[in-house]
Amino acid sequence: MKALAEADVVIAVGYDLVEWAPVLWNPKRDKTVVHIDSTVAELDGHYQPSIEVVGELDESLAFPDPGGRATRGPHARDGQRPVQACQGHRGAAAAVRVIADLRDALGPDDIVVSDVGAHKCGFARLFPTERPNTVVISNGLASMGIALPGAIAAKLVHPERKVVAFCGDGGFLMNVQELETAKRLGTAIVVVVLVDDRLA
Amino acid sequence: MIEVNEKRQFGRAFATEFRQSRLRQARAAFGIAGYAVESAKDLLPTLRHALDLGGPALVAVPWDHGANEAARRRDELRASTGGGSLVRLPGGVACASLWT
Repeated sequence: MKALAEADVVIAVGYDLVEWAPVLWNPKRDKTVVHIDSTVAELDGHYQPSIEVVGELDESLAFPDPGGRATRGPHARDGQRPVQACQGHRGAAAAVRVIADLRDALGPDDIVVSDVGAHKCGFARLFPTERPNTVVISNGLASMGIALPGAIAAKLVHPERKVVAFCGDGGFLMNVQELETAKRLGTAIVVVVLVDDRLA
Repeated sequence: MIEVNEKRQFGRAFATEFRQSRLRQARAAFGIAGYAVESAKDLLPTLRHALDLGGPALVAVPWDHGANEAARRRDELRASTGGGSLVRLPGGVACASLWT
């Protein structure tokens, strides 16, 4: 956040105002903002982009590099996986470890529905997504409880794929009754519940 | 995230702890398979097993939000991590409801 406070130019890619209100990071409205998204910028007194790039994100982010070779978006870095850096140190950092093992356990077409909560931030940063619509994240930090029913729905649509609901214990408990739905329909989903006994 | 924000804004947290989760009883009540992962080496095999069951399954994993935050800086994480247990909870407190 310090870097954001000190920035002269902010390039916002897929930014949702609800995640971190512009008034908090642009209180003096003195930053130059570049808005890159699939939709136009939402109106806000503290979020007035100088430039808007509206379109498919991977095409918008295909900047030519100084050598003149086009570079792809952040998901296509020569197959590099962000979690690999930590895999030699398994056992100490739960977040990275769980996310890395979940990636290993799933194929590229399998689906993860992440719940909302503290775990979502780590998941969104560290889980490599190889195919479109295989990671579903309900954004906005306002929809806890989505993962379990969301995973049931994903499995009903794609019965041939493996489907995981990735939840904290808080979000899981908000719709735990849907385990009955999964059982009754025979929906083969796996609910990974991260337990810390708190709304962290 | 709620506890963290409450502490930051108010200096303390209120009613953010769970004491009666009892996941084992919950999964038994719904009649679905369930596994508590208590060691890091069991995590991947348990996930694979659960994914191959052909029915709904619950996999409970102890979680340390502090480690999640640390993951912001992967270079720091690399320097600080060693072997040991799956999570390090503050004060060595175990997750009371992990599988009770």
